[in-house]
Amino acid sequence: MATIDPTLDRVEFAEQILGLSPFDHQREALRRPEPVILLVGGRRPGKTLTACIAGLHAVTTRRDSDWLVTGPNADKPRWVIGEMLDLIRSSKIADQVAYDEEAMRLHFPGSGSAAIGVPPTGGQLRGPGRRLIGAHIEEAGHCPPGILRDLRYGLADRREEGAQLWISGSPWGPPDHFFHASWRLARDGDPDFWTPDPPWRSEMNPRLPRGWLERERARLNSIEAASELDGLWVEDGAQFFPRALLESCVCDLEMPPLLGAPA
Amino acid sequence: MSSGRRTKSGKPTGGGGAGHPKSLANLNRGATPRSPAPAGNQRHRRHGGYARVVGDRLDAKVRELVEAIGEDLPLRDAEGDPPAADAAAVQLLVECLVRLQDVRGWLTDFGWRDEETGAPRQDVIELERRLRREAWDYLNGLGLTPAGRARLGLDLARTAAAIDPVAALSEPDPELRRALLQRIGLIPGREDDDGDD
Repeated sequence: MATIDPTLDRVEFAEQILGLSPFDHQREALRRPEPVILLVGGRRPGKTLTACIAGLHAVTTRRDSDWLVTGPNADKPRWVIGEMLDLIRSSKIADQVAYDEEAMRLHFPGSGSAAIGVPPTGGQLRGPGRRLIGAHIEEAGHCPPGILRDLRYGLADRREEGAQLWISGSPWGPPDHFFHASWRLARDGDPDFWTPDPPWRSEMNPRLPRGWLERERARLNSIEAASELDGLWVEDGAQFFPRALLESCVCDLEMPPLLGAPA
Repeated sequence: MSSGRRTKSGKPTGGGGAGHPKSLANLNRGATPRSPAPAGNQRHRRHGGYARVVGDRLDAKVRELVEAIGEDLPLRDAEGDPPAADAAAVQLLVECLVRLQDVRGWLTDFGWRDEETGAPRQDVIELERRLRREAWDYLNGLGLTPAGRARLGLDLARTAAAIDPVAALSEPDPELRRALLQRIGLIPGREDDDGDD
């Protein structure tokens, strides 16, 4: 079988350059072209690793570009950048990276590109400039709601070059939060959003002991298991009235003026 | 003092004088009509050593050379052809070989001694010698001699060590990127591609 250029295919990049063998569900995500990729799933199916592969591919195959990583607090992007560093250190390009832990920055002198961890504040994320080729929001359900708005316009500049926003996390957050709202857009077929359907389940990671997963499921109640292991949004199960029912009961009414009140 | 008739300008007739009846004959196309030069005009050719190598002829020689050296050319691109970066060197080699072949042909036809004086044709012999040396240099540079191949092997090793893999991965030119990645071993060479599909 002919070798595919690893710079043009993230699965080949993972295999040939990083020495990884992504699972089938990860391969599907790594090959999606949509501007926004939402990796929604239970615990440990490989959401963060998949986004890290996408980020490393971006900064090693494109010159003078930045990939931002953010999360609910300052420590989360540092942890993700550390994961990316570990992937590089066990790869064929282990010596080609400079790591600044203080700045949460992985710099590749060969491409002039960098993966940079930033805290989830608008000042850090807004207007990052033409170097921005992608971003990753980790544990998105716990992030401040304005992050998506701050990032999405910055990524538009290089959309033609394949700039993407990767959003990962377990299903969490109210319906009006960007994570949940974006997931609904993807589920409903918005061409700019993609999410795995159904969400990734913990058991899709073959490294997790099957017996332990079954015992864990037995220990959790059904709502917790659906969220933690199956990656399902469970707000309906956790509230007395389903959201769809509540929304169907709401409508706009024009209130008549009160008698005697000024118009 | 000349006894010839003088013109108004004071120059005598003959020897380029304006009044000589044949002085402008070579510029008068009507006086000595010549047939147009045929395709591949060789009228002014002497021994061909300095002849410009025309494109189609060069292409034929390039093809001939590439086929002849086959797998011996040390550097190959993704398609198994000589790398684009070596094209200029290959072209110089082929031009040189074509000229050398022409000089040899001329010497075969007319001999290495002058027909009238019997003296060696030093200019042509010297030209052949210089072309041989030039061709040898090109062959060495392309690794087509044992010594050149050995030296090129060292250079290749140094080059591979000097290439930054990430610079190769981010090289915008797809052909050059693939060649660089193959050279530093990040992706398999062409022979590894021909497996089961």
